[in-house]
Amino acid sequence: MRVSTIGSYLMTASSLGGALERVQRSQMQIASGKSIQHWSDDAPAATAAERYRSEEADWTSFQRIGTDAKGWLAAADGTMQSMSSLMARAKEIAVASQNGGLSDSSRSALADELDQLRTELRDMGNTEHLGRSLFGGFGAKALTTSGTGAITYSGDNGQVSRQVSPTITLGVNVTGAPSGDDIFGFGKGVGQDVFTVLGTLSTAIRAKDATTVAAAQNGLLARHNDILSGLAKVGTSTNRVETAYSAGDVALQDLATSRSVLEDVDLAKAVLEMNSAQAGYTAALGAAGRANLPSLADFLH
Amino acid sequence: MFSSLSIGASALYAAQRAVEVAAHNVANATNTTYTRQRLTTQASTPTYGTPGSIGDGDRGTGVSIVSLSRLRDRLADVAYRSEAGTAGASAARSETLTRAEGILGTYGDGAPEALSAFISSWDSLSTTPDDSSSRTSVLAAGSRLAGSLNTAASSLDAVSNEVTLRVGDDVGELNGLLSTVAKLNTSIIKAQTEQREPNDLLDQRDAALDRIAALTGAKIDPQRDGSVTLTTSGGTVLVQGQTAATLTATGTNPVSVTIGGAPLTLAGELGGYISAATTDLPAYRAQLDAVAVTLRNVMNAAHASGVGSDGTTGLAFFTGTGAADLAVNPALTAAKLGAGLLTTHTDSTGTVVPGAPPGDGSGALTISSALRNTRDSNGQNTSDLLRAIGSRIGQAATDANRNAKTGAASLTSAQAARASADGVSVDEEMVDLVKFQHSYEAAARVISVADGMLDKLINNMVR
Repeated sequence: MRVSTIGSYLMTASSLGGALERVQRSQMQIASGKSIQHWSDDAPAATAAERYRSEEADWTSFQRIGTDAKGWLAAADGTMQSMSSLMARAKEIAVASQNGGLSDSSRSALADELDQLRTELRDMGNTEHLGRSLFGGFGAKALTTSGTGAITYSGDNGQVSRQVSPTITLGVNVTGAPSGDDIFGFGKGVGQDVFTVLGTLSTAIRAKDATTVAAAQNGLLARHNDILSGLAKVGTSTNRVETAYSAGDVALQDLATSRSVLEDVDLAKAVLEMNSAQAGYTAALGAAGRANLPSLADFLH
Repeated sequence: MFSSLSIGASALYAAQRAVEVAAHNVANATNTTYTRQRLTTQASTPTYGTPGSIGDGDRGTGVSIVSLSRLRDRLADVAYRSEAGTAGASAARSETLTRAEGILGTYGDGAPEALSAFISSWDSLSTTPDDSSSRTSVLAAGSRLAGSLNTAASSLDAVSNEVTLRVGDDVGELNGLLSTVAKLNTSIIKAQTEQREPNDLLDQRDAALDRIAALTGAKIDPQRDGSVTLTTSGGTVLVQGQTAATLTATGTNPVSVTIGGAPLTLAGELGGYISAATTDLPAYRAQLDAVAVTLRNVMNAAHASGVGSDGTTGLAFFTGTGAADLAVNPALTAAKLGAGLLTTHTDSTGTVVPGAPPGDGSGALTISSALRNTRDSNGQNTSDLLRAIGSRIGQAATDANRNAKTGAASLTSAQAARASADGVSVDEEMVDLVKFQHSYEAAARVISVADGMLDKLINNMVR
């Protein structure tokens, strides 16, 4: 092929340009650590990576909600465990009070303890979690004491729902609502709620009324079971949240790995590529520097 | 005897001219638009030998110059110009789409991520519906999402406006080139009638034709009188003989090129810009608007059932008719956000008041799941739809970039092939210089010998 002076300059310029572009591209990839910086770098991979990123955002959100849900369930669980021990103690007192050899003062002490347990149970029922009533649904306060000392349910049956995975949305609270979980027994008939039962028991022990004490004992047993079934519900919910949470951990890890494969630069490979591009550029520069220098003009006198 | 002197003189003259041509070639060795020139010589018309003396054939009279021609390769021109048109179109398209692919913001931190953040803000609100900072976050995330779509729309419009400006500039340049070609046609026709070889004018015209081909992909027909006729692929005449047409860039968004009011179909760089502006950009814009409308409808339908802490319900979350004017409803305040579903609650004094209970985040849950799970007939949810825009423009830009790269490579090789045929080789010119220098020396020697002979004859003949 005939080589013209301008042709050889053009080819030199275009090959130098190409070599420099390769160096620059691999430099940018290494500097950012990403093989995709624009959609057009690899449109299908970019689309997939963006979908993974959006799913990761969803799962991160669900994990955060899951942590919140676990907080609610743990608070309900802890408080209800205490309620359950309290009920057990109340049952012990009822049994102890039936000992015929007890003095009046001993019976009065037992009755006093029962009164204290009743107040304690009411305070437990009014426990708040993050400023919200734990057992009162959406109500401001679960239990209200009237002027006469009677305790009534002042909450509602509001379900505190939490979405902990793309498919699982569940209630994380237990309420005292008669139409709901009814852990205090307000829906089991007049005088059957746990506070009335405890009050009745205390009065009967003071009055040495064995018949009423026996009836109240059955009431205590039934109310203790209500609290235990509430605990069972919390346990089941906790398991579901835990399962969803671990599924989220796995999903997040998988998504991050898949996205990294698509988006991140294989550093070893990229460095190797840059070295080869640099070597190519250096060689092109050297060749350009030498090749265009001599001409016949240099050898004529 | 005297004929030897005149033969020597003709040789001196031819050698001088040849050296001049070599010098001209060397002077233009790095000029990309220059075509190397060659002096063609031949033996001048002989005179009859001595009458009656057989064997004394025709007598040579020296050398004469036949032509000074350009060594132009027509086929290389045709190949180069066709590649220039294709490369111009694909480069224009690639440039436009590369500008457009950034409309969704930085890859990995743009509109799709703003949508994810918006959905997450509803998730957070569902756990803390009574927290005013969660409510404010939802409004802020909504504004950010609307803002990113507004930016996408305005960026796309900006790209379209840039294309309009580019087309305007190109049309201005093209009109100048067309009238240059018409003027050069005039000069070339004149030169040819006068039997001159207008080599440098032809080079100027070829340079203009190269650029016109890159801009429009126009067909170039050389005429017998030395002029060229330019026609578009649609058959519209741009230059004929000594007259050039005037093109006008009309309209914005999309721009078009007209000639005497009639729209013109062009290839080349202008064709690339116009097809991107009339086909691609409006399609992206329409898709963007459709996504904005879907997002608004899904969001508003879900939000309408939500109840605010002050009892407000049925309010729209987003207002606007497309991507450009999507905005968070200005009537919406933190308290009016439909985070709950219950319409009344009992306050701390035991009174039943309107408004969702402070702990009720079910409305927020409904909204985040509507945003995630409402799917169109193709099974795409809102974030799929938004991503699809980036994916579509990205894919189109990938294809366009690849075409542009191929086009540029083909153009480079066509240019190299042409330079190989047309370009000056300094080495060749040096060889020519040596050759004609010697030829000049030899001719001078001939004259000197003839001079010596005449001297002998005139001065040294002793009577």
